[in-house]
Amino acid sequence: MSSETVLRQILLVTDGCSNVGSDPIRAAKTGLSRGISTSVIGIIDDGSLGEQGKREAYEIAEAGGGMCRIISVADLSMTMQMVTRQTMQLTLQQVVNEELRNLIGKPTDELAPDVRIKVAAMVDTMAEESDLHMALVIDVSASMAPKMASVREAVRDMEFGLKARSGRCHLHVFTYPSAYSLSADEHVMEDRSGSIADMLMHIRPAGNTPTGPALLAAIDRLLPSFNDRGKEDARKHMRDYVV
Amino acid sequence: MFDPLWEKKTPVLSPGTVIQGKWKHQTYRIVRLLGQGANGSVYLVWRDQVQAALKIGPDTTALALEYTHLENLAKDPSSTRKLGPAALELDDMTFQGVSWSVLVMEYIDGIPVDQFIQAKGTHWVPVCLLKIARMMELLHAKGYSFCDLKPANILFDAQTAQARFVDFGGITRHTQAVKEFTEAYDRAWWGRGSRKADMYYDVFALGMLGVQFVAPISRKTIEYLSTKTPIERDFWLDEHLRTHRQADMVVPILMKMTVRTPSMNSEAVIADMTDLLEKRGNLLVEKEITLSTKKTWRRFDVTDWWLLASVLTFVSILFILLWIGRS
Repeated sequence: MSSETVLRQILLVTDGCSNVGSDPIRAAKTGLSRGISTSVIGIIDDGSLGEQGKREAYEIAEAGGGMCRIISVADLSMTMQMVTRQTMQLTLQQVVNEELRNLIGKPTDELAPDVRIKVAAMVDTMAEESDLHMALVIDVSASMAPKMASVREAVRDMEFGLKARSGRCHLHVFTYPSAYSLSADEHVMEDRSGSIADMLMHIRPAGNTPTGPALLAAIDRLLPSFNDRGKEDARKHMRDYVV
Repeated sequence: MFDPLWEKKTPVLSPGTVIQGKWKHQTYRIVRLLGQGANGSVYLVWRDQVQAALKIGPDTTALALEYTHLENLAKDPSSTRKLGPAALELDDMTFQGVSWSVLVMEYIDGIPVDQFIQAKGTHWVPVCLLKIARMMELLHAKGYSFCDLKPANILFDAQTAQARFVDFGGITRHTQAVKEFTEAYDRAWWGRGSRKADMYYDVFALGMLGVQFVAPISRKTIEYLSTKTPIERDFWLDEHLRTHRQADMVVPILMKMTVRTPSMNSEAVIADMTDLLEKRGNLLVEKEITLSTKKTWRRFDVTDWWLLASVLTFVSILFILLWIGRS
């Protein structure tokens, strides 16, 4: 069971409120309905996030079935990995709960502690071994400029963390607003460690915050059918990006 | 459908509150908050007539795993030295309509290792590192690494001066990815290895713990370094240790512990620290603290013998005087 489990999740890193394009909350809801959970990390430095941004961050996470953390940029690296791990556990717990409900009609919260211990051990192994398809959606609007160095290193650190797992991992990094299109640019993890982080070095943060379209692009990429349908497109897009 | 953790922060339990476990029906009276970790809040409680530590949090899986680790460690009869607290109960409780997972452990009355060293002086650093390395050795022998080795997670028992690990949430089986870590003690963050759990991961973290005591790296510096690449951090650490080489005799060992290609396991750390202590002649210090718990009778020393001799002489003189007076 554990080796076949595929986890699909999005982690959104932003420091502001969405201001262009479709509704991000609706996008997160769409993702959840297709088995993709969305978590959000809001960065509060410089105060550009505001009350409105915080509320939006919570609402996206709630609609996306994930977690929300509001932090300062110094804690970004650790929070990104903690949120990823906990979202994985949460999703797996959900899967196990579902199966237990089918088997004995009880979710884990209502299991006696000694049974729950066995379930927890199983969830832990699955979190380590399952196939993870992950999209990191990063806000690179103008206000992110002073934080880009931290973001870049946090992404690199995340790659280290994901590579240490025994399960397979596909990491896609989306940055928005796109320099070329209306939604987001995609960067794919190569063999060499830290490659995505190095790509981020060349990005000049500028423009609006189209969170909704960026989330939709990530969802589209994570959907299982994409790999057959869109390989050509992705390659073409990458060529565009490199040129 | 989902149960977002952010909605359920840990509950605030005021002193005097009595709570009851759902499954084992044990009652606990809250004394005070001890601290907050990644997986929940820890409270000091009365459990019957004994004090205990109660961890309460929303993440049932994490607490169940921690309970399992504590149980497994306690089960092994070969290790008489205690690594961490004994697990007492894993249970649920309902507080203001919300269900929480609860882990009850033995209460360890101690102070974090950084406060311990602050109070005793940096010449205690090798002693502390030695004690922690001994515990690590036992853990590594079972195929686990502690991983999140930071001052708050290592308590020195106020009574025995024995080191104990407290937060077992980060404990990871070898070859698995490290679950919880703190940047300043993390091998991968410093660009000196992977984030897979092995015994060298712990040795690196222990080395960095030592560095924090003899050549502290401030929070500000860590924040500054977090915008740099791992290679730059690696260079920075090299430079930092080189400039502090003279600060303490322990620094060369710390440098060996934190190198990129690991050469020291916990056994080697123990050997090196023992050597250093012997060289400095304060192995006595370590013996003294390990002996302090045993209530053995003090041996007679030279002063005692002199005292006895003088008392005997005094008494005999008294008798002689008495005898002379009579006759």
